Amino acid sequence: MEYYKDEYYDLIKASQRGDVKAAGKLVEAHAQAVHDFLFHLCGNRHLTEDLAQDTFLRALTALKHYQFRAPLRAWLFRIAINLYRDQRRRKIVRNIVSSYHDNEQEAENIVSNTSVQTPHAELERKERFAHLYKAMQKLPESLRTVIIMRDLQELSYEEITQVLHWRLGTVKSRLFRARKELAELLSDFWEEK
Amino acid sequence: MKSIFHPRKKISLYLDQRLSPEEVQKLEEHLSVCKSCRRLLQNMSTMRAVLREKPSVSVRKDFVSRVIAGHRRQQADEAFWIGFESVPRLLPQLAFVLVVVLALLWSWPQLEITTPEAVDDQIARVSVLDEREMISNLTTYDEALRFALNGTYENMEGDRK
Repeated sequence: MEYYKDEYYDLIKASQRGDVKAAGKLVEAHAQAVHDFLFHLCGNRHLTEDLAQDTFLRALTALKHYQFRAPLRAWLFRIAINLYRDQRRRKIVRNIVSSYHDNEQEAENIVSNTSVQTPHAELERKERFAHLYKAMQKLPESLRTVIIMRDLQELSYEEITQVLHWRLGTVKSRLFRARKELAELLSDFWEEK
Repeated sequence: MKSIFHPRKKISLYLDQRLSPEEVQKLEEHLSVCKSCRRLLQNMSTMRAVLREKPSVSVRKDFVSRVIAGHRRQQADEAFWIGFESVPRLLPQLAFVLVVVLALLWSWPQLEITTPEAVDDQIARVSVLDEREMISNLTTYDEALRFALNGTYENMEGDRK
């Protein structure tokens, strides 16, 4: 039964019928969101690219089973989380992350890709985001996931319950815990400002 | 001294506008007098604003074409395996055929005896065995001696006659 009218409804329907062009447009429309989501989840640029590609490949294969019960974006995040967890289970992430990069440097690289502001404001923004990024990586996976979904991807509480298969109360309490822990981790830095 | 209740969980819901008007009013009254809750709200709010600046990972220019190429490969692989979909349904029959073939292979040495060469070989083996049995049946010294001198059972039989 279909009960969620996704903004990409027509493209999804066309892709389900095997229209590769429509599938390409869907990938294009969601690529950035999936990349951002995965990067904040795993904190590794190379792994993000690999996981994003696998996410879309799996999604396109399974698209015929997509039943419009949640927005496509949320459904893609669900696939991305599963792939990320599979990776972690195989301990690949741990090996790469431990030997790969300095989180702070990575955060600065990302911020440098975004819009140009005045040098002082830009510097301040970079610094703020670098602290936030480092603090995010200290959160447990479940808290990190929920805060990325709500505060970065702006999914509603109901959409999060569908993606993560949590009850509404669990979403609320974990979101509170995530924000509280992040606020505590960052309070020293932000209160100095 | 009476302890104050800090409705911290509600601050998160307040940020997301998930509180009823009455709850909002109560919380705002509390925030006006509680410095620690105000600070928590401020930090949560700043954190969310920073996150929503949406710093993003650049997507490779060829990302879409790579995904679509991969998808086409997957489709081709799937098409190849479509012909083999009936294999699981035929498994019992295949197992039966396999058992029959194995049984035939196992019994092959016994069937070999039916060839002319095998029959001759078998006859020769049997006659040697008969000769040995006859020797073991010799009961007297004379018989044994005569057998040894004449060399063959036939000669001895001839003497007896």
